[in-house]
Amino acid sequence: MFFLYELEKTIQLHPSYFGPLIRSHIHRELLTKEEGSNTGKYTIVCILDSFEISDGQVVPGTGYAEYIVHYKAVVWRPFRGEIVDGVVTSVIRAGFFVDCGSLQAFVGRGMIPSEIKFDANATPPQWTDNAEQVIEKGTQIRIKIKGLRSEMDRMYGVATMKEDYLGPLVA
Amino acid sequence: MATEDGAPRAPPQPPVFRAPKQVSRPKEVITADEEIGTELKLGEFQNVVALSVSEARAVITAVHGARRKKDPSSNPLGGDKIHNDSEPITKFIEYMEMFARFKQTENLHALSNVLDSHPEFAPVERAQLGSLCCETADEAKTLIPSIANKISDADLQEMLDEMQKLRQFVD
Repeated sequence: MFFLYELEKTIQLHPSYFGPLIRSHIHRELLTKEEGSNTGKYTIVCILDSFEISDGQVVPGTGYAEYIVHYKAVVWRPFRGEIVDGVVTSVIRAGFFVDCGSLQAFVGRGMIPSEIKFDANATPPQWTDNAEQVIEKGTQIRIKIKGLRSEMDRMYGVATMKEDYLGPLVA
Repeated sequence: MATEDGAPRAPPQPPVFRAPKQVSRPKEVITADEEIGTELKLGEFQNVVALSVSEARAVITAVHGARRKKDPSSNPLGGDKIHNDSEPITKFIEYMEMFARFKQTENLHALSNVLDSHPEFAPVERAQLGSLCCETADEAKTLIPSIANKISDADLQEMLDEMQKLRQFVD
């Protein structure tokens, strides 16, 4: 789910940037380093353009100056038990993978209702109940997050569609 | 035991031990039990403004629009770039285009009025209702179990019907 979250970041600036454009340098640093980054819990999707910069402080021993920047950002954080919509990215015999923004979720065979079977002969391969529910690459699907794990700059999860009102989205 | 004048001596005060000043980093709070279920356990996000997919899309489009309008020379990212082209950001933009159900600003305002008329919802529940666009009260209560005791089925159904009307305006 998306949140409007207040964050703080300490930015160190090289002395060569000290000058009238210092604010713009800090802004650039913030946008290039922070936007799109993943803290392990959430992804920073977009930093709002209004932010506050503290007074700079020169770090003893180096010439660098440290600035603390307060900013607001749209972050996306998945929770266990949350219902999310996503797009199927790959379909295999053991289940299928769903992309929800920066989260890659796996729905295993045990998490798929038993009437939906794997069909390897279809092109592309699909999970289907031979009626209106077809899960293939590109299908939009609603799933429930069961577990989360994060690695460097990426989040992984397992999800289920074996509950009421979950599964491929119609229309 | 008594002193010379016979009055009992005050018992010696037990020494007060204080923990030494903390020098290590504070331990990271273990957050394994954060989840959205029948109860909302959001940790640090408990009282943060939550956004539905459509709202998040509106915010991000606005920020990117403002950046696009800026003079290229004052753009901190250089040229006419509006974000730093990192993979998560492009993925989220795609994701929001796909799953935002209310794309017109007027409809979005109307939606937030509908949701605001029920102050009993937590921000997260409000965002979930706006993102998932359930059709029936039962569906909404199954997918977002924490609202089950907050609203009657009839009231919820009425609200969902209003939301559906706003959606049809778009399609």
